[in-house]
Amino acid sequence: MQDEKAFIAELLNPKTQNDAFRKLLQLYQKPLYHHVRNMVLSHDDADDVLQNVFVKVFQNLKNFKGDSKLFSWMYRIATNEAITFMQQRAKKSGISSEEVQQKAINKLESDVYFDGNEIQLKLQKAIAILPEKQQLVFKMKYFEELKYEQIAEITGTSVGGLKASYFHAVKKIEDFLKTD
Amino acid sequence: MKQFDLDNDPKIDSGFRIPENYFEQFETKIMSQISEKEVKVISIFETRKFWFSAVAAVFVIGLFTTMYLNNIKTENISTEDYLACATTISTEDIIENLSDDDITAIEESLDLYDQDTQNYAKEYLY
Repeated sequence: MQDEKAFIAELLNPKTQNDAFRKLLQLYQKPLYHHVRNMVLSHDDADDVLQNVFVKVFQNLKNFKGDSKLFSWMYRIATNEAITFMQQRAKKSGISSEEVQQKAINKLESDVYFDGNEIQLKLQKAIAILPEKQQLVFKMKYFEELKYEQIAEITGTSVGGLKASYFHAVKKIEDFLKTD
Repeated sequence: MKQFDLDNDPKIDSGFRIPENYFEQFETKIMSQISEKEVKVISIFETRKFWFSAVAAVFVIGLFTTMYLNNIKTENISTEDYLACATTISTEDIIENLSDDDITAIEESLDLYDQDTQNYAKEYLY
């Protein structure tokens, strides 16, 4: 964004707030939807989480210090909301977060908003066996096509560390895909 | 066995689909949600609830303070006051429990034998 400070000022000014927030929504709803959807897998859950994300963003705009970019701040909120959502679901059902994810993958086959073929479903299964951090890095790099520098800003990890995580993730996934 | 090279093979799509017009509807939904949050109406019931709680709190504090003070009073009541008020104990009961020393002490404290009293006694009693 050209002048982020001016845009943040518009978001905080009650007179310009509505228009500015609509602009923010139009800019970020698609990338954040995909980010959340990649984590929670089902469309309905992604919709619930994304609503919480934007309401939280709106409520916390006044606390936004501008130390980080709006982009990475919003991605962080979305990531945390998606993780919290999965943890709460696990707690409610009395199972682990991994089991919740496994269940979500099993549901994909009958999901009307998933028309993936066999290899796409297998890719989802391969991702699910990775440690949480590698999953996140892989999804952000491979599906969302974010740059390492952007992922570093969002996750607060070094670019070198992220490259290593992605490399390991790709290796494990390729090995999984090779097997029948 | 098929080899996979994720970074060089054609990209595997996530397979996720989105309902038609989802983002247009989402935008409208969020804009109405946040405008609801902006105008926060405080209902009369909420204001009343506040005053009910305030009055209840004052009442409870008052009750406990009174109970606490009463408790202190009971602890400080002297044996003399207790005996004076306890009507089931007769004067005879008290006398029976007094030793000679006690009686002498009472006589001294009452100062029965000062000059005026003795004169009065001589004049009218003997």
